[in-house]
Amino acid sequence: MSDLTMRPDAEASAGGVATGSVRDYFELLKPRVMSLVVFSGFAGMIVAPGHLHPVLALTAILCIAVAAGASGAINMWYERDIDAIMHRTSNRPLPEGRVDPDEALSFGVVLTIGSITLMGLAVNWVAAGLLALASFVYVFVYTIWLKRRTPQNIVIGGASGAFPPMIGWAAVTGDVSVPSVLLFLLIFMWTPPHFWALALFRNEDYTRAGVPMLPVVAGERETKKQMLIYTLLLLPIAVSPYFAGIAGLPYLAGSAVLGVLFVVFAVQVCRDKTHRSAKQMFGFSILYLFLLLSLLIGEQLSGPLVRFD
Amino acid sequence: MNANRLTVTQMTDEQKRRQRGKNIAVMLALLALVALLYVITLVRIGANA
Repeated sequence: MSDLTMRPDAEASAGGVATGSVRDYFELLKPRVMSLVVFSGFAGMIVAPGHLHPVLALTAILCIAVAAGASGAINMWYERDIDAIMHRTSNRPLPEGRVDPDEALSFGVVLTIGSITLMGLAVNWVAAGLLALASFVYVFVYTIWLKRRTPQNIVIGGASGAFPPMIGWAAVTGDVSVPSVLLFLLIFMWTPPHFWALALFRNEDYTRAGVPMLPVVAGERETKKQMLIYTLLLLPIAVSPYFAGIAGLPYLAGSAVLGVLFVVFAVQVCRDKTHRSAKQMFGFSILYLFLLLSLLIGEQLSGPLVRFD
Repeated sequence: MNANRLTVTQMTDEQKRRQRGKNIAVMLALLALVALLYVITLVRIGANA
């Protein structure tokens, strides 16, 4: 025997009618993160030796973008409890109730599987495997396993964000080789100082949400020291694409100057008692990666590499 | 008996508008995917010819 009940409009959303707009779903894909992922994937693709048909190259970029966005949607689904507590994330579609959590999860899972499958069928299965690995690391290793357990969350989890140039490279060559590993390491070593700069001036947010970011667990002094260490380690890695033969002299000079500037910012953060320098370093870290990748891409587009040898 | 209880909800005009927007977006995405798969097939067949 069934019982039919009419609900008033005001309760419609609570009754399970999804009210999210197209824009809300697009927001689930973390478009700003996606843009950097696409850019780094494109850089890996353009420095790789060989040729890929433009349609297939575009497909590879699309798959990288969609898979990254889909992982972001699954991340937002899993973290909706802490997102609601933190100022920076409280206006996301899930904490604000604009999108149903189950729909967000389905959206992310379908797009992840679809993009990895398309990459495998249209481009190659090495690139698809790396794309699957990047999604796995972001969702399971970073979001579910590490983020709420250890201050090393973004160090290990940062690997997921470092995969795109390697995926772009694999899309062209079908393999993983030393230069693509160097591009992976470049973003891998860049990630900790980038996120810890953010964590320094968002410390209260992370503390309230119970996320064990390094400044929350080890304090600001230790975090600043670690940031400086990573920027120093990043210096030789950032110039290494020249020695691996995938970049020219403009990149060598640019990466050296930018690397030294990154270290200078880290030193300023160490000496600054306020969070002003951390904010500046966070902004510079984005510019740093954008300029490095632009140099790599620009050199390839402007003809043969200018080198000493 | 509660397990068989059905709930009928009514969407507001705003919700209907958003749902329509999502339907159109899904349709466009599917059409774009079909077109992309068609072009990919042509390229892959051309490469192996």
